[in-house]
Amino acid sequence: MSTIRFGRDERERDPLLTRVAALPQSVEPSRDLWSGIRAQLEQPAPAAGTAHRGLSWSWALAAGVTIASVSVLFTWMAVKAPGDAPAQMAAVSPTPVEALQPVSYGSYARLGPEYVETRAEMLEMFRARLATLPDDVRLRVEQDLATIQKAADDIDAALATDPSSQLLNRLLLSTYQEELRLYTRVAAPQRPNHERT
Amino acid sequence: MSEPEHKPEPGEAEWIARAREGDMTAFERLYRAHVGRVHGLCLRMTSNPDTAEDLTQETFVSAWRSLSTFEGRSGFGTWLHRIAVNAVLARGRSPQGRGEVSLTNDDGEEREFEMPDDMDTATPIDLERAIAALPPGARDVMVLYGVYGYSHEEAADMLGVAVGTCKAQLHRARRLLRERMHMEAGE
Repeated sequence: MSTIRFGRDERERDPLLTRVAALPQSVEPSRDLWSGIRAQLEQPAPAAGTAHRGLSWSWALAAGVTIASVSVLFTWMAVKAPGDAPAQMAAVSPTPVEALQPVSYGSYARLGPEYVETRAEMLEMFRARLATLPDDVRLRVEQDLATIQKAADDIDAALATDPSSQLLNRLLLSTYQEELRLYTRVAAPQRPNHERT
Repeated sequence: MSEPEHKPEPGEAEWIARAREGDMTAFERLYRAHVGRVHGLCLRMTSNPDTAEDLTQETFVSAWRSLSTFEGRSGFGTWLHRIAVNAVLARGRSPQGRGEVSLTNDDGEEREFEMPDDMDTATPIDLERAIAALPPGARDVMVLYGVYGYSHEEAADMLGVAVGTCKAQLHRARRLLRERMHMEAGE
C-alpha cells in the first residue's frame, strides 16, 4: 500500500501549497546523531520484563477506561431519569467537583481550539447543572469524573515512559473524549418527567 | 513538487531484515537513509533544533526496539514518521515539553505566534519561518500534508484527530500563511 499520494488535489491547484510541497523533505541535523543512538541501543534492552510490564500496564489502563465508560453510562441513566431509576448511594462522602484531582491537559492544545472551547463551555454548563442534581446523583457524577481524570493521569504517566505507544496515545484521546461526553450528558437540558416516553 | 514520494533505498528491505536480526550496521544504513526526513519532520513540528535532534534520536531508538512490529504494509519511512509524530506529540504533553513553550494563551486559546510582516514569498527560508510560526495544530497538519505529502486521512491518523479537524487545521494554516505572506488565494 502506498502511503504517500499526490494527485490533482489542492496541493497542485494552490500556489501556496505548491511552494510548501517544494520545500526539502530532508533536513540533516547539525551533528551526527548515530553515536548517541548506538550508545542507547547497546545498553541492556529494557526487553522482556519491561515489555511485559508495558503490556500489563496497557491492558490495565484499557480496563480502567472501559470501567470509566461503563460508569459514565450509569451516570447518564441516573441523570436522565432520576425518577425511574434511583441512583445507588455510594459509601463515601460527596466530593466537591473543584476539589477533584486536577489532571494535566497538556495535549488539549493538540486537539484543536474547537475542542478547548467546547470543553470550557461544557464545563461551565456542567458545573451549573451539577449543583442542581440530587446528592446521590451528584456523587455518582463526581465519582465518574474522578475515575476518568485518574485514568487520564495514569495514561499520561505511562506515556512518559513509553512516549511512542500508539495504544497509550489513543487511550488518552479516548479518555478526554469520555470526559467531554460526561460533561455533555450531565449538562444537556432535561425534559420534564411527563414528557419522557 | 520536488519530492512527491520517498523512494526506498536499493537494498532497504534487506537492511530491514538484517536489522531485525540484530545487525546494527544494517540499522545504521537505515538511519543514514532516513535521518534527514525524520529530523526534518521533528524540526518543523517543534521549531526547536535541540528538541528536534533529541526526538530524532528517540525515534530511531524506538524504531530499533520495535522493528519486530514493522510489517511492511507501509513504507519504512512512513513507519518512522509515525513513530516520530508520536514522540513529538508525547513530548508536547510531557513536563519537559510543557516547559518549552506555552501553546495556549491565558484564556486557554491556542496561541498564534508573532512573525515579521515583511516576508518574501519567493524565499523558502521565509516560508519555513512562516510555517514555524503557525499555531501547533495548524503547523502539524501543514507539515504532514503540505511538506510530506500525506493524505488528510493519514495525517489525521498520525495526529490522533478527526479527518474534519485535520482539514479545518489545514484551512486555518493556509489562511494564516496567506495573511502573513500576502499571497493570493489561488483557489
